[in-house]
This record gives sequence, structure tokens and C-alpha cells, in this order.
Amino acid sequence: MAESTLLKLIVAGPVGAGKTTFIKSLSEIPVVETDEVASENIGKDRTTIGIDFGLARVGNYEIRLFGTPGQERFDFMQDIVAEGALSLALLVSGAAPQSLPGARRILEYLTSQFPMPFVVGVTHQDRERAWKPDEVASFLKLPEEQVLGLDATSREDARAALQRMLEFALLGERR
Amino acid sequence: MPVFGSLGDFGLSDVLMLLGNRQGSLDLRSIPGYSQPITVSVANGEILSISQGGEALDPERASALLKSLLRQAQGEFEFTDCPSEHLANCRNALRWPLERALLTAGQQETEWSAYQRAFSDPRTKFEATSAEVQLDDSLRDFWGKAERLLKSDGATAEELSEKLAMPLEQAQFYLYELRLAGLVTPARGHSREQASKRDLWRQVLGALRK
Ligand SMILES: Nc1nc2c(ncn2[C@@H]2O[C@H](COP(=O)(O)OP(=O)(O)O)[C@@H](O)[C@H]2O)c(=O)[nH]1
Ligand SMILES: [Mg+2]
Repeated sequence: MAESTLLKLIVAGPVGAGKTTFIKSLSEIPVVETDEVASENIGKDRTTIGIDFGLARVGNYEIRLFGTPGQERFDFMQDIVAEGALSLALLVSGAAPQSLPGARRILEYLTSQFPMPFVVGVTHQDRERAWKPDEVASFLKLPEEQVLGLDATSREDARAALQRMLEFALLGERR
Repeated sequence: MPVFGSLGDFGLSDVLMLLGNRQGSLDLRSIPGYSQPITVSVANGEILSISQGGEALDPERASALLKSLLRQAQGEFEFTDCPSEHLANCRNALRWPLERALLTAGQQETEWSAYQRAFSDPRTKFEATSAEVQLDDSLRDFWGKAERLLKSDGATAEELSEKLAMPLEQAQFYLYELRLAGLVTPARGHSREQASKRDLWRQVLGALRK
């Protein structure tokens, strides 16, 4: 299918945000985790060095999901993944505020160099002490409707985030 | 609602900006050199009071403390929302507009390395906004040289550093300051290529909703 090459979504965000979990929640195939591949090839401990890959089916569309940690050392991979992507989900854990400044850096870099519609997902909302989506929105200076709380382990939440990404893509067009 | 974290990760100015439309008190703890907890009360985009060990400081001491806190990279913060009746009791309130308090406190600081952790990625593209702001001398000089680049296609700190022959960190610092002043913002928007995907988005969305 010709369109499928265009259907690429990026899931970016700091380590621990829930990217791999999110992609697993959406994917119809076993998610390819390059951190595992890397640990075999370079004989190192498991680290999130690269990209995760999953495939979601929506109607006749195949959506390729690429997870990228946005660590500066590996940014060349992120650039490759970002090129030509349809939309971006930036994930950040509300329970790990220390990762918020890094998440903002990633978001600003990606959206300034690869203009595309995006949403922000704030994970770990089930934890007692966690920043709420509206607080993260305020930190990132984004409209509240662009930032949603989600449990990355929930398929339903992940599908809702996917839907919001596409709604935002269309909404952004109207402006 | 809990806004909490460490000053090692967020500059105090980031935290205060975030509280622009909230009201309540920001408690600061474990700050080196200050054994007593510090509380900054905010409401309606203003700093109402700064207190140390429960005692409100006079404007002069409050200002000195704020200045030193803005440079602080150790300690914990936690914000507690507070009903307006409670804060209204605050007599002799400082009533410092947040943005101005932060900007003037920041301008005294010429040691720009203190702000490094707040810098954007050197490859983040910035664009000029339509705002007009009075700048101090060094920033105006930079703005004079960078304005054209920032107003046409936008520019990154990397590009500005190269084109204006200055160290990368200095370009990052100036962009950081221009951003605080509201003159630049990270570029965002939709490319023409994105616009052409509109039909595709609509179809996928339709399929997803089924
Ligand atoms: N409680 C809770 N745990 C989550 C949530 N999202 C992810 N996790 C867990 O957080 C951990 C890190 O998630 P992972 O997907 O590996 O993060 P990544 O580094 O961004 O790929 C895993 O143990 C997940 O099961 C969430 O919304 N709530
Ligand atoms: Mg991962």
C-alpha cells in the first residue's frame, strides 16, 4: 500500500516516560526494541540507546510507530526517524519532574526542525505524586487540550492519544 | 495539585513562570546556606511575599534573596494551592509582577554559565515574534545582528554562533534572554509538506473512530 510509507508516527520522550510501553499497547506485532538488539551486539547492559518499532493497524492503514529517547548522543537516529513523520507524541512521566526540562528540549528541537502536529502524553497519572496534564501544559506553554494524561499500559488510552494526535493534525491545519 | 521537583532540574524562574496563573505558596527546602524553609507566595501573576522561617521579608531583603535563589541549583520545591481569602490577608504585599521581577533579577547576572541548564538544544530553530521590547545594551547589540536571520527563516544557536562568529554558549545565552524578553520563540508550524497530508489524516482518523 503506497500510503503506508507516509504513515509514520514518532513517540519521543525521556527514558522512563513509557514510550516502549505505549508502542506495545498499540502494536499488532511484537515490538522491536533496539536496546535489546544493542545489548546482544555490543555486549553491554540494557540501555535505551535506539529506537523501538511497532505497527498499529487502523482500518486499511498501517501506522509505523517509532520510539526514540531523544538523548543527545543518539540524535542522529532521532533525525532519521523524524524525517517525513506524520505526527509526534511526546511522552513524559508526571511522576518524574526531573525529566520535564529534557522533555521540553526534545519537543522544541523536534517541532522546530521537523514541523509536524503533536500531542503530549503525561504518563504515570495513577501515581500519588505526579504532575497533572494541565501543569505540564503550563510548563511547556501549550494549550491544555494538547496535553493529555494517559496510562501507557492501557490500549484504550493509547488509542485515544493516537486519535488526539490526528485531531490535532487537522485542527492545526485550520489555523 | 502537586507541582514539585528539584532546583537542580528547574531554574526557579521556570517554576515561577509556571505559576503565573495559580495562587498559593511555593515552599523551598534544602537550599544550601538557608537552614530555614523559604516560602514564596504568588497570586494573579504577582509575587505577594517572600518569607523565611515563617517571617515575611521586607522588599530589600526579599529582592536580595530572590536574586540569589534564581541562581540556586540545589534544593527542593513544592507548590501548594491556596484559597484567595487566605492570601488576601497578606498585608504589605510586595505585589511584584512575576515576569518583571524575573527579568530584572536576571539582567544583573552576567555570569551566563549559571543559566546553561536552561538553554535550548543548539539545533532548535528560533523565530522572531512580533513583540517590541526595550533591551539592555549587550542584548540589543546581538539583536541588531541576529534580527534579520531570526525574522526571515529563523535560526538556531549553532547557526548564529557561526554566522556572528561567537561562542556557541554565548549565542545560546542570548537566545535564552531574547526568549525571556518575548522577542523569540522556538519555531513551530506546519510545512507545506505537512499540509499535503491533510486528507490522509482525515482518512486515518475516520478509520480510527469506527
Ligand atoms: N504506573 C504506571 N507505570 C507506567 C506507565 N507508563 C509506563 N509505565 C511503566 O514505566 C516503566 C518505564 O516504561 P518504558 O515504556 O520502558 O519507558 P521508556 O523508557 O520511555 O521506553 C515500565 O515499567 C512501564 O511499565 C503509567 O502510565 N503508569
Ligand atoms: Mg524504552
